[in-house]
Amino acid sequence: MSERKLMALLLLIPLVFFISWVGMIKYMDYMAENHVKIAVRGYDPRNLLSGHYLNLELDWNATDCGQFVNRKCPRTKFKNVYQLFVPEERAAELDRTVRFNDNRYKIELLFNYRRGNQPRLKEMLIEGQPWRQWLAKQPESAAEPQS
Amino acid sequence: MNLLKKLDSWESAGLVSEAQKQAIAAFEQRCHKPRGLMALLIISALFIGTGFISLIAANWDNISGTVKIGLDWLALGSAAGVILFCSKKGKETAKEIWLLIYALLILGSIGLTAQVFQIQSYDLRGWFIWSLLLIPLLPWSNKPILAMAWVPVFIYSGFDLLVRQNWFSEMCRRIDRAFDGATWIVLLILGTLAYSGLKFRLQNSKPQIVRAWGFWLALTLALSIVFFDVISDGGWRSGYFYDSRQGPDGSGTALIMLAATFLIWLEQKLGSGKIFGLLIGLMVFFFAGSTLIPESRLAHQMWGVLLTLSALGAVMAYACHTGRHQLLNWATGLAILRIFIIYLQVFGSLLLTGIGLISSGVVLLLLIAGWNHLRRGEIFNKPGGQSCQNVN
Repeated sequence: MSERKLMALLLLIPLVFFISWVGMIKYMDYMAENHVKIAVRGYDPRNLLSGHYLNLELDWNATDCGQFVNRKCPRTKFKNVYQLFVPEERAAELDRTVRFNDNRYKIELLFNYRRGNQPRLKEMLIEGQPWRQWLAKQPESAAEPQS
Repeated sequence: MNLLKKLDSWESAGLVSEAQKQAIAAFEQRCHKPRGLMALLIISALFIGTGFISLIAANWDNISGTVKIGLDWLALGSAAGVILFCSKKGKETAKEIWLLIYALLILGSIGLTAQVFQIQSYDLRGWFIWSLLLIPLLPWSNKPILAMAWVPVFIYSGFDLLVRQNWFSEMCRRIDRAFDGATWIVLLILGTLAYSGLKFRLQNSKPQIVRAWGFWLALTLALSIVFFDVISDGGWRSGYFYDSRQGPDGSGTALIMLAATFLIWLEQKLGSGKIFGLLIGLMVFFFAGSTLIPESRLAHQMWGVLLTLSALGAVMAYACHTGRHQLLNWATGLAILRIFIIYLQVFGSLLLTGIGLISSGVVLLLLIAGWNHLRRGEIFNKPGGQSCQNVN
């Protein structure tokens, strides 16, 4: 193989990596056994590289452990805090909703969970609905905190 | 003094003729690199690259994840294509600019994939992946900017990943039983070995990578010495790195000293710098020796000063030996500054400070007289070394 071709291949390694990474994520999703919902509390957003996100702390006390094997919550298999990336224009509104929730709404994270694998965060649910759907149904100021 | 003024003075001293002066001036004019333009190009590439990252970070809600990922792959592929095209057409500057944009685009792509699939960030792993993905790009670049950005990210994020592994932190704890800061010394030895290896293999084909590694290594060594000097003012014995109050371990210290000696020998053998091994040797001596000096604040302060002055002395000797007069000037200036700071550290009253400063001024004048005397002699005109008289 000529040096020029080898150099061209080197240049494409990052692209191949990203395609493989996405392929692997899709495969893991396909293989996942079930979805689990875990209650969360939220605080503090934003990161320069990834944009806006919500910091969500898992709340095992408010989680139904019946959805796991032996009715035991596998706390050590999950991180304590998860980041949910959200669009810039919805970030502030969602942040207020989650941070100042104070048990007003039931907020949960939906995971793809398969024993032996790392759980993968799929979606945030507010009152059992994906946050986009829930937010769309709210009147303009409904998501604002009532302090 | 600028070149034209220098040429005038050489001409009046009879060193060059009028024709030679004109030829040198014309040659320098032709070879003059437009640094301002290059800086502007680099800034524009950084603007474009970070602009992409910002666009990605905005995470538009009305574009689906699949479309976002698809567009991202397209952008990556296009950037790679443009780099190939520029390289084929011999457009070196454009290629470098696009390499920079491509590198930032890769960083943005990591963020985008994490965003779309809600991948959680673990420590600095995202940066480490970025530094790994940059490795295939490094051979493409002939300018140091990409390598300069890559080296610290690769080392720092890689180290961050390693210290979170139990086996590595346990190993560090064991190494630190030798003396405080032993792990740091071992890491510096490994970094210097890597530098020697890179210099040996890539000095001719990819000098920018060697240069970048050397720059960051020199900076790290300098900061380590400053850090030791600063914390020797009372903080050294507090077990800054790990708690090693059980006392020094002789065999560990001996092993590290052996490693430093091997490094100095290797640098001599490969001719790869020579100064780094010497500085590390000094650091081993002072770090390990700090456990043996009396428990007094003044003694520790002086120990730190001695390390800094010894290191600067080594740099001055190296600069003189290799004819780097600018480095010599800087090291001398820093040594004088450090000596001056001693008075602020040590003396309590203005009277003592005044007397100390006057005596030191006299000592410095004597040193300058001695230095001038040496410059006229043959000490620095040994075979193999370049005369200081020639370079100053």
